[in-house]
Amino acid sequence: MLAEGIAAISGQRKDTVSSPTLLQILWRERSVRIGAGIVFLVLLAALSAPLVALALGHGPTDQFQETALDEMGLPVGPSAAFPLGADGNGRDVLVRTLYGAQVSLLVGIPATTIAMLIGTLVGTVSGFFAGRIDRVVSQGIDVALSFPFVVTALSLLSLNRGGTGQPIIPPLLVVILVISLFSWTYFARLTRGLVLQLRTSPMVEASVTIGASKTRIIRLDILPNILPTVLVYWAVQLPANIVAEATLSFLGVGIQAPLPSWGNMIAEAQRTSLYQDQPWFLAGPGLALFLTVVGFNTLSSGLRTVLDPHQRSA
Amino acid sequence: MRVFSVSDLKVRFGRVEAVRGITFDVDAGRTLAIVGESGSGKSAGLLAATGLLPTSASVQGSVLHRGQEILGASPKTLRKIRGAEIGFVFQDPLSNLHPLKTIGEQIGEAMSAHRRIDRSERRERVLALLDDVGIDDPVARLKHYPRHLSGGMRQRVMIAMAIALDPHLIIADEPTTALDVTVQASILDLLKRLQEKHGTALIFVSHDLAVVSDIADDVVVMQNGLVVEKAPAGRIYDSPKHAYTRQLLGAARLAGPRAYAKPAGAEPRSPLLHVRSLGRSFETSRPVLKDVSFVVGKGEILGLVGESGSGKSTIGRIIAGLDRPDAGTVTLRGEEYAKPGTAGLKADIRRAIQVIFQDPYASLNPRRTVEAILADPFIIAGERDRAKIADRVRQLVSDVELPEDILGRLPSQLSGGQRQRIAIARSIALRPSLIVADEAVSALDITTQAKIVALLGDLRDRLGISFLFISHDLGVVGELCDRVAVLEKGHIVETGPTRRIFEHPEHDYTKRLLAAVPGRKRQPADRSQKAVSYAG
Amino acid sequence: MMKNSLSTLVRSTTTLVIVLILSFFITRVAYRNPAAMLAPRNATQDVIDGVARALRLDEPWYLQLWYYLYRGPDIQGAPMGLFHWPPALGFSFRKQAPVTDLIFAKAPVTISLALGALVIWMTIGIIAGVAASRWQGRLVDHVLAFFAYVGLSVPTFLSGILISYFLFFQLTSHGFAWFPSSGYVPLTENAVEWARHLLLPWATLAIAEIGIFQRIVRAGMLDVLGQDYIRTARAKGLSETRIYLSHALKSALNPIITLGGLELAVIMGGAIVTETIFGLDGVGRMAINAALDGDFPLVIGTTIFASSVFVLSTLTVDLMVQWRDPARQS
Repeated sequence: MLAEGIAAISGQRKDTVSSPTLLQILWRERSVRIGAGIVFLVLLAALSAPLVALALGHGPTDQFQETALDEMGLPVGPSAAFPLGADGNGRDVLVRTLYGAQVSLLVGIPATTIAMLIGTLVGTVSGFFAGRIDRVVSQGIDVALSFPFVVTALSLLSLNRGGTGQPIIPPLLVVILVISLFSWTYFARLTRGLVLQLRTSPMVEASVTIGASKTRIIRLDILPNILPTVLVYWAVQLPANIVAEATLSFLGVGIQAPLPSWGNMIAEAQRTSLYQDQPWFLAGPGLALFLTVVGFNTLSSGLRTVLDPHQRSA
Repeated sequence: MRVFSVSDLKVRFGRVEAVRGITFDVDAGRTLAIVGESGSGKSAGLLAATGLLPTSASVQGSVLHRGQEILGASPKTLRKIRGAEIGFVFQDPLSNLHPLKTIGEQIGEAMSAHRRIDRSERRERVLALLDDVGIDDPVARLKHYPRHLSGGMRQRVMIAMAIALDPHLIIADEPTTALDVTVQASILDLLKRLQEKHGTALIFVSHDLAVVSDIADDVVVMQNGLVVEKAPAGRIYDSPKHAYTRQLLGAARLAGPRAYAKPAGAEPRSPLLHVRSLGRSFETSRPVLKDVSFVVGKGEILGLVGESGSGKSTIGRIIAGLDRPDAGTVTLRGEEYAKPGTAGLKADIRRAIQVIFQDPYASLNPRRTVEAILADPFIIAGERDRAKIADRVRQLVSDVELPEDILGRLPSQLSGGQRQRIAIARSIALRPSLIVADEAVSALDITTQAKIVALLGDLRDRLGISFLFISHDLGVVGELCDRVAVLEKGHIVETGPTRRIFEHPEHDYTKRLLAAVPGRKRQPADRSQKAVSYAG
Repeated sequence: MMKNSLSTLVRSTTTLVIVLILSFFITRVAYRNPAAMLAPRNATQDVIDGVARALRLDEPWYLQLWYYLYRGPDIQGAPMGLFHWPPALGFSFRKQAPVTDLIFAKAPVTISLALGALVIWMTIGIIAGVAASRWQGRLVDHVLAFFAYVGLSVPTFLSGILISYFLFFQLTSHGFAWFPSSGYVPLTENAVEWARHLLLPWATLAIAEIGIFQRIVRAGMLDVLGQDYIRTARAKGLSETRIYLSHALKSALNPIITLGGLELAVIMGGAIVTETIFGLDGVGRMAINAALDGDFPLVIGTTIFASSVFVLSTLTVDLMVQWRDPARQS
């Protein structure tokens, strides 16, 4: 259990003369350092996007038919003006890739956070009250899990079309909602399992015997003890949700062109086959996506090794 | 003939030196007992000697098995010796048997790992072994999985595995620690019988000098990775030389309590809690409780004794309102608060009955400081004045004899004994009339145990709190309780004053329980009704 | 045992019914004017009304749901209703065919794709995971960890593009036409061609899963290897090979089976991507086209198909785990 892991770590403090903080202990883990480094780069990329665009004079959706396409209409390769070359429409691949980082994080982080909040709430209620409520919730989780992600996402996106075909709410929001709708179950199952275990633990029964109310038990005994685990699994789920956004956009269901997203950039490269002449058209967004996922995966697996020695499989 | 001899063995785990040079040996047909408290390095030494420690440990010294050096021998050589020439029996047979393999498979494997043996012959041998270790209906047992068996049965299976190939030496590491007393006695008998039959050498590791006293020829006492005393058993028990041996012997309960509790007064106490015809059953199994009735008097400590599965914890849970009965009632000061169909307790009853749990590691919230944990009862009771709460919390800490600077710590920064004191402090915060102590000292080291027992007795004397002291340990019960109720399979077979129960038991089951308490061979001549000194 | 299986079964059926009702309502709200979407382009209002009548779209929703759940009138000779035998899921106007026929026609492609990938990733994942735990901390472990990380960090659509570019496009343009460009050959027709057509899609789906499973098998093995009963096995003098394969793997397998079942269900999403990239004509592609076209009977049908796959695979896993659990026996 994670809480014990942390407790054990902080318990070690009194033995050592220079007491290392939790952060220092985390930092000793190699994968935490590497992961944090890569994640930092991704954040930097996302923040620097407008600056780079300004420096190069290329907006993310600006088309430079004259300078970025050759006489055959093929995109140019890397040059001083276009560091990663251009895409089929004469747009700057570097600038679009950097803006893509913004989109990835803007979708991934809120979606994972919403999923975590919903999932933790549902899982806690279901695990703590058990019995009939638990059966209903488990059935709900089954239903949510058994919906096919892409097909349902498509239906939900059509739902967003108003009478004139214009979206009612920004598509970005819909993508966030769709992804959180499909990943809350992960947190719900996690917290439900943790809470079920804690519910019958001597710690909770001791609180019951001194007369603590249910809300007090949840607030003081249960939530603080499951929260660290849930936060680590937030970091585990985030890269999965970034990939989910990219996949939806790749299939043309998520972020729509011309707004740059790594998914729709890769889709365009693949559809037009132009990456065979201008490899960076594919490699730019492809590598960026890969690095981001590797970074978060490495960071979260490092966090798990330190904080959660008995890694859960589900 | 010398079977196994260890000299100057050292074991290090990283920077920690677990074993710091130990020497002992054992001859054929003899039993060597290695005794020490947890962390003394007794198990680590033996595992290291036989190559069963993870490779991260570094091991030095010399280990001769029938004259052959096996420390640093190739894994292949060790593999040939383990199982064939040295048999092992470990503590807690449930975790030591593979949960997904049948008994037959697991014993058969011990043979086929070393010999070519055809199926039918192997089956015959396994059946003979099961019979040998006293398992009835061996044919049916072959197909059973470990969790279908009782603790004692599982340990018999472990022993069958250990003796499958007639080893010269059996290493038994705390083989009876997790077992009930009667089962423990039968396992000790079995080991002795097998040893006599085959002339095997036996190394018996234990934390308890009482258990060892019935079986050992020689005793090695270990402390902090060193052998502090090594002598024939008679000498150890009659004239121990080392101070630590004397301390262990002082804490050991040979054949029961060292002394009986002093009844606080001769007059019958006015009743506080009435338990009437309590019954409880869970789905798909026999009833856990049948017609259980008893009374706890004001300021009385009632011991509730029984083996695992006897239903003693269920009684405690029902009284504390953590479970509800299927039949019968529980009454506190004339107010009936638990009966079939009720759930939860009224606030005043809730406050009057508190619980101390077995595992002090699990019963305290690891993320809250001692101060926050101890302030809880007052806050829940509606106290708002912070200064008042702080005063009371400090008073509680001194009530359980802890220093005030402990308030800022987290449970993980406390020792087991300190944690249990905090749990006790929390339970007495609102001055309850009754505390249910469910195996409250079982998880503690033997010396810590004595201090907590003394504290409980003291709290009763000072605060007049009654206790229902639930335990499987007859020794502790004898030393603390005024009266004892003996529980067998969910039914109370006998109730009476402690001394009467121990010295003139009436029911057969009570007699059997008492006869099984280890240390009879070397029990002290005098067991007067004096208070035990807990010094040391 | 019986009681347990029965309640699992009831729960699975309930799940399917809820999915059906929910997807019915989602499509009903999502496609506001389905008849117009289903009718040919430039259709007159009369034609659209005709479509609406034919599909009973002009009737109240509860009647429509009733047709779906229980028994509806035949559409162009095709029966309708889940409780009809054989169960039917309505009629696709776009494709001019009963939905069940369409799904049954495409299902073998998707099922071959998913099951083949499952076999590949389970086999490789378990072997690699056991190897990594056997030589923990050694070179093998580090190399396997590296590949696992790369594998599980590449999204399916990206690895699909790369595989099709290097293993199909580059190989073929250099004269090694080992793999076909697209298409599917039924297993019953020609087993070798079947495998040849599916090998690259299988690889695409399996890569990420191998990465995940290798890590999970390794962690599970290491957890089991620290158990007391493994020490007992060593104390009996068993060989390390036997300890790893017969003792440790046996216990480590349960969570792996459970996760395998879940991932198989989740893989439906990956199947859509893979089918798109490799031009496989499966249920996934049909589903996405149906959703884009507003062909809602087919959307509901494919949704039901996907959730049936989920329910079936979790059911199978449940039964397998129950069957392996000695507590449920005797």
